[in-house]
Parts: sequence; C-alpha cells; structure tokens
Amino acid sequence: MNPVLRWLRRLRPSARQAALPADLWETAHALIVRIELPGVAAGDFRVRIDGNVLRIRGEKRAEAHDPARRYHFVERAFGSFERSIVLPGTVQAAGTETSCKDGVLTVIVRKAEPAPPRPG
Amino acid sequence: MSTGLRFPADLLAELHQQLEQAIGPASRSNSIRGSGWGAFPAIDVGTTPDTIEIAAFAPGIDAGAVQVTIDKGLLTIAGERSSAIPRQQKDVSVYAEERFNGSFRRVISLPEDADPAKVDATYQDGFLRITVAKRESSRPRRIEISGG
Repeated sequence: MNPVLRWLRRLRPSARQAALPADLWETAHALIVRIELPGVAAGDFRVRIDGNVLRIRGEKRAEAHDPARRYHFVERAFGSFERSIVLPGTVQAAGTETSCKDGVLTVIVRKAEPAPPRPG
Repeated sequence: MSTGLRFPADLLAELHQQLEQAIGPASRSNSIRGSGWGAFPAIDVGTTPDTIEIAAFAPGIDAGAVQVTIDKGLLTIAGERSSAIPRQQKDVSVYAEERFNGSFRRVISLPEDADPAKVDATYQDGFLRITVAKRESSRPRRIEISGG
C-alpha cells in the first residue's frame, strides 16, 4: 500500500468501530466486556467467540422515516456494525453470559484456567 | 518499497475514501452547535411542523441521573456517568476503557416558537428522546373574516 494511504488509515481505526466504545477488564475467573449498543434491539445483534476473539455484529436501525421531519444536525450513526475484540489469555466459550441493560451489552467470558498465583 | 503498478485514478479514489474516513465525521455537522462530534451523548435534532425532536444515545445511565432543563430558549441535557469497572475489587486488571465516564452537558438552542411548557422526555435502552411542542400561535392557521 502507498505510504500516504497507510498513514491516513492510521488516523482513524474505522468509522464503524469507533461508534462502539467498549470496556474490557479481567477478574479472577472471567473477562468482562461492556460495549455500547444504544438503540439496538435484542434480536439485532450477535455475539460469537472464535478462539480468543469476541465478535459482536449487528444492525442499528434508524427510526421510521418521517417525511415531515427535517434534521438540523445528526451525530448518531446507524447501519450495520461489527467489532472484534481480542481477549487476553485463553478463554472457554461455553458458559458465556450476555445481558443488555440501558443500551449497554455485558459479555462475561470464563477464563480457561485460573490465573496462576502471584509471586510473593 | 515496491507496491506494483497502479493507475492514478485508482490511487486517487482510494485517497479520497481514506480522507473521507479520516475527516468525514468532523465535516458532517454544519451547525455551530452541532460541532460536538465525539461529544457525549451523541444527539440528533429534527423538527416537524408541530414539534422539535431531540434524540440522544446515552447508554448506561440511570434515568433519574439525567437532567433535562429549558431556560431562555436553551435546552440542556446534563448528568453523570460513572465507570462500570469495579476497580476497588481485588484481582481486577483493566485492558480497555474507551467508554466515556464523568459529567456531561450538551446545550441545544431551541427555535423561538418552542413551547417550554410542553416538553416530553423518555429514556429507554440507552435512547433519550425529548419532544418539545411548538407554540399553538406559531402554527399556520386560517383567519376567518367577519362581515361588517
């Protein structure tokens, strides 16, 4: 790829990913991902685990178009989205829990083995 | 570095696409008050003949913790969102914290015909919707002419 293009590509990761901010943290037995999916209906997204990659994809549907409505400014984004998050360490896909509250999706993935005891 | 032969048109098209992605969101809003790309919460403002509609994506907030106020033609959405990460717990390591936390405030200038007495706000699944009615007197109406 052209170096200029490569540099430009680095400026923004991806418009589709930037719209889905996530938190990821680890506890003694699990990895917890919280991702923002406001305005996404429960049946409009899918969560998959491939190896240690968590994939969330779906569709953010816009409200029904009202021809009488005129927009003055628009910051919200709609359409299909996809985000892959590499989970640290090895995980077991079985027993993954998902829950959605106030437009935030929580995914709890079990770690494959308990963390080794800390030295000292 | 060898990238092979490329036709200039192809290169320009890709350059255009990359530039669009890099600066697109910033150039999307053309209003001075709409220059808040990346601000929390993301809002859309629209009008219909009878109402002004404000739609905001504010996920993960307790509905009671959001304040919507109107004063002198300015509608303010304010509140606070705290981090969801239980840092005080033992054995917690954080790998990513991209979600906004802290206090937020967005101000929207309402048109003159907005009626501050008729405001309706709902919050569901992270979606805050505020509807402000327009004054009855500002709507088009027919005036009856009485004979003398």
